[in-house]
Amino acid sequence: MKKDFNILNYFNTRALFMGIGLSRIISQAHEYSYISIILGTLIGLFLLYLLKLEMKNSFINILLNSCIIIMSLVLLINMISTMYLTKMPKLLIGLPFVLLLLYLLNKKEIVLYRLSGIMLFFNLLCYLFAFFSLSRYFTFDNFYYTNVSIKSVVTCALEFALYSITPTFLTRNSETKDINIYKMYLVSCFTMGIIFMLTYGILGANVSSIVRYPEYLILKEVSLTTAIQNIENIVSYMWIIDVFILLASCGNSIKNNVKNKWVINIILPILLFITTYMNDHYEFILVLYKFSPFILAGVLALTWLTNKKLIFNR
Amino acid sequence: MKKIIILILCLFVMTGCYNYIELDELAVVSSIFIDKEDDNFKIGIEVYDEDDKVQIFDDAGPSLTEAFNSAEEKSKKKFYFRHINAVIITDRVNIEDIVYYFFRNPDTNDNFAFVYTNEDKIYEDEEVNIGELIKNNIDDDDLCSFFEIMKGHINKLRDFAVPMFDGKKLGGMKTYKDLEPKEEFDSIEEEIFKVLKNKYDGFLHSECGDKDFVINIDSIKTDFKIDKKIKIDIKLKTSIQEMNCNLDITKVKDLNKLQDMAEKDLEKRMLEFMDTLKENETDILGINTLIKNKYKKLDKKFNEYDYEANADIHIYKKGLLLK
Amino acid sequence: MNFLEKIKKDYVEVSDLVVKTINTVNLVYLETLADQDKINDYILKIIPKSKIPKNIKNLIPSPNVKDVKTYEELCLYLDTGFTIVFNGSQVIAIETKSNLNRGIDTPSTEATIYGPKDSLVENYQTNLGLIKRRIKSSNLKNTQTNVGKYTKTMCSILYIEGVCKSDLVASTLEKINGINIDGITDIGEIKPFLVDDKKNVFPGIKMTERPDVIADSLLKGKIAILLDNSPYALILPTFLADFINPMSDKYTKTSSVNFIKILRLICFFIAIFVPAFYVAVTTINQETIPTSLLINLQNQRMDVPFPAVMECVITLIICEILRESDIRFPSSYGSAISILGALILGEAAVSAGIVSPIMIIVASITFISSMIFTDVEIINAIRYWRFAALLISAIFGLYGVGMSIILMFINLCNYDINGTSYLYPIAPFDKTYLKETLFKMKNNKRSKLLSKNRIKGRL
Repeated sequence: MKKDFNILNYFNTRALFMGIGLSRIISQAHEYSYISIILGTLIGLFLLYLLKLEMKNSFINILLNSCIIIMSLVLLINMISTMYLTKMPKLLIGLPFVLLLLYLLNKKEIVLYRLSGIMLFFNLLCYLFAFFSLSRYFTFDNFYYTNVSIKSVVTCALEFALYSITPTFLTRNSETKDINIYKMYLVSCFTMGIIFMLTYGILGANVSSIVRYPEYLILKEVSLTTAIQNIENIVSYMWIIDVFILLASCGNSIKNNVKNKWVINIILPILLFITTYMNDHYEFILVLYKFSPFILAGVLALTWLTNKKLIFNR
Repeated sequence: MKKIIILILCLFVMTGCYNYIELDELAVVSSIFIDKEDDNFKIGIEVYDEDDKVQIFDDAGPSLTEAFNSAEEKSKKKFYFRHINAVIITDRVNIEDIVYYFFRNPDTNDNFAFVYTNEDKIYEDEEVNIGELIKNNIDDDDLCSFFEIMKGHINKLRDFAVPMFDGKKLGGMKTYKDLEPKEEFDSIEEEIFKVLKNKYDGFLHSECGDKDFVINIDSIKTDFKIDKKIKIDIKLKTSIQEMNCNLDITKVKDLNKLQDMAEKDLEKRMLEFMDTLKENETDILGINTLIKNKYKKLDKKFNEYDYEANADIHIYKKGLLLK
Repeated sequence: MNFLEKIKKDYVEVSDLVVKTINTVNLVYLETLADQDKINDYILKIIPKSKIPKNIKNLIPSPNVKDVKTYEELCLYLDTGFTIVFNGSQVIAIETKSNLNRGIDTPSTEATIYGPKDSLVENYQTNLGLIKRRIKSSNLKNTQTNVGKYTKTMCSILYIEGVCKSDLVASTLEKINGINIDGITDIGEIKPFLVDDKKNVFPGIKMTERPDVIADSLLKGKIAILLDNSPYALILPTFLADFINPMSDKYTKTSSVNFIKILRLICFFIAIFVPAFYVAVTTINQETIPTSLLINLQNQRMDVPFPAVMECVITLIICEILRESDIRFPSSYGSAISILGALILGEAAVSAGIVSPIMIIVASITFISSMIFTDVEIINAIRYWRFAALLISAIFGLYGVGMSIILMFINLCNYDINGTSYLYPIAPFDKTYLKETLFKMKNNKRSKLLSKNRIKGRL
């Protein structure tokens, strides 16, 4: 059980970078984003070590989990609507996703852990395929000097820590703490770091800061010889899997905090409708893009404050 | 199980098929020609047809979208830009509009080539697929790919160059500075550009007296050293491809002579090329970026520096022939 | 003596009941089940003419003589071909079964190149013998019980003591004893009582006809169930990985067999997702096809009036019909069906403009891939998910293919086999079992799940 939970964490750490975290950090820290990532990983590791959570206040927890669900669902649906299904209404894109989530959440909790174990293989397959076919486009010429202040590098490090550990904190309960959580976190951050470097090394500072999905855009370059090109839709399954597992673990956390498990069948459709409303108004996405670190910081702070036992590890 | 079946059926009934389009309703675009005349976009669209032929649709409109739409009505099919090979533009077109049009549109691929032309009309024969011709003949499409132009366009420190097409074949290139078309280079100068860009894996023509020889470049390493002067170091590993000189290259002395001649020739041509760039202030090599990388500021631009070239050509293969 | 009267009363409409009286001794047997020669040799020649001793059990040379205590026991012996001898107050049953069996045949559904060529038959004793010949140990136990209120079919659980976990045997025995049905004619009927697979299309228990597969499974710590009159045995517990790879990989060289094993795993996905992928790629995400192929496909599809989904469904259903008719037909007609299906239908459908040539290729690849699995149940399960994925991907394109992959795995993860996931060596990750099933590697341990005795080769 513990081990399975840690596999879940691999996805939770990565998922929020899709569509928001990665492009924000790259557009601010530019060629020093690797420093941000290393610093951010250390900060995240420190926070993971420092905080011991025992979630007691269930209402706040449901609220915060819903917040994360809405955020990542907005980003995912927006991405799919931009890249995969350009003409389909956003509600219908979200519908199969949420139905799939409900199908999973109505099963036993162990199913989620088993699924994460299976999905890890698919994720790594996509990831390694993308890595090996993209690494030849990587050039150091793109790491040229741009006036980046130390302040923005440090800010980005904090943002990296926020994006990577907030879902872990929300979804974890006190019994699942052991040394493997740090290992998985480090592995996850390492894979994210490589994605950062590839994105920056292929697109460069300027292109990567004006596009919405730089991590998706580089996948357009993935190819096997000249015959098989434009397979970005298949390789980007790795992001979809990440977000799916994140949503499922948030949903699971909500499920554990309500007395009647069946309530989840009402909560998730409501969240889908809220998401659709937000997606139809582009201002919300712009706001989300601008203030997401503050939202996450708020979520993290509330998680910490509502804890009954405010104890440190030692 | 029943639930899943009901679910799938519900989805099927409820959603309909929004992005669904059959293959035979698609018009797969091979290349686009874009020209501008009195604020009117003139476009030519080349569409794949049966038996390796192409269909051509011409149209015009006040914006690109309108021009495409009215051409689409003529073709009775939906234009599909995801397999596009090349976009051909003239100097009357603002390249920024075109680049942003294709960047914003998710229904395009990012691997097509941007090509410049001086001609007014390039689609004449329905037997020749110009899009594929361009795509196959560009050796290294990194140089004129979408990303490269985007990088050059957004980065104010740097300019870019696109290959030229005269309706029959590719050759030479056109430089752009601040989105304005500038100097044209012929294909001999394009060789030097590619050598300086570290990307060239082709041939190098050189002269020995009144005759000439051709060497094949096997590996290349170009380095810009910025000091008071800018020193261009080039290391080439080459093999002999064609030899018409009166030298006996079985002797070490003559081989060295040949290498020297090729080196001097290359150095001279590089300096000439740099002079042309300096005259037009078009920084297609990205030297300004290197300067800024080193000094963290840009007091002196690349055209205010003096240049020094140093080529090191090493012939390490002669092929089957002894002499 | 009241037993004899009761038999005569109960078996009143049973025409083959024979009651023979010699002096004071009464013989009762069913002549369709009993062997006349054996009765003659074992009983009739032995019974003395004049003075009959009280205990005749010692006189009888038959290898199998049983004392009968109750009437139920008596009926069971009578119905299985024994001859019941009433001698005063003594009642004994003597085995005089006639031989109604066919000889040991070669395996028909699980053919392999290397490995033993014998297979189970309908006779329970023969089957047990085939397995015992492979495992010569007193640790091989078989717990027997009867299933079916009318048929009273002999059912036996085989396991190796010290290798197999005892709670697995106990729980299985409990489940079999709890079966409350009139009768059972084949071992397939007890499958739903052992594993709860109502919500899942994939098979939960492996059926095999090869005694070497059974012996190998027993050595891994699994249990086997044999049923009288059934030429198949059940192996418990089995996971998806066991269905994908046949056991006979053991007899082939390691380096070459791993390639085949990976190929089978890929074929599993090809058989399910290729039609879905084809529909997604040709109707929604056309960018994924290479340009020259796209133009080619476009020209092929020009004359086809149906949408690609419909075309795909039609072709796949025709293939299913062909396969089903091929199984039912006598084998001599099989080749005729193949020629009709493959050549005439395929060729004619293309030239009539009903389907495009590429669709025929897609359907064939799908079918050939699904045919490498020996178990019919898994082919049926693959077909179920093939159509589900096809419908989802027709709406959502490649996004739908991704969704259906996740959907299938949620469904499989929810499938419990004896408290473990159906995707066992991967989903709760187990290196030892992975080395035995999905790959073939050097492995001298038994899986933690199946056995407490972890080291192979230790008694």
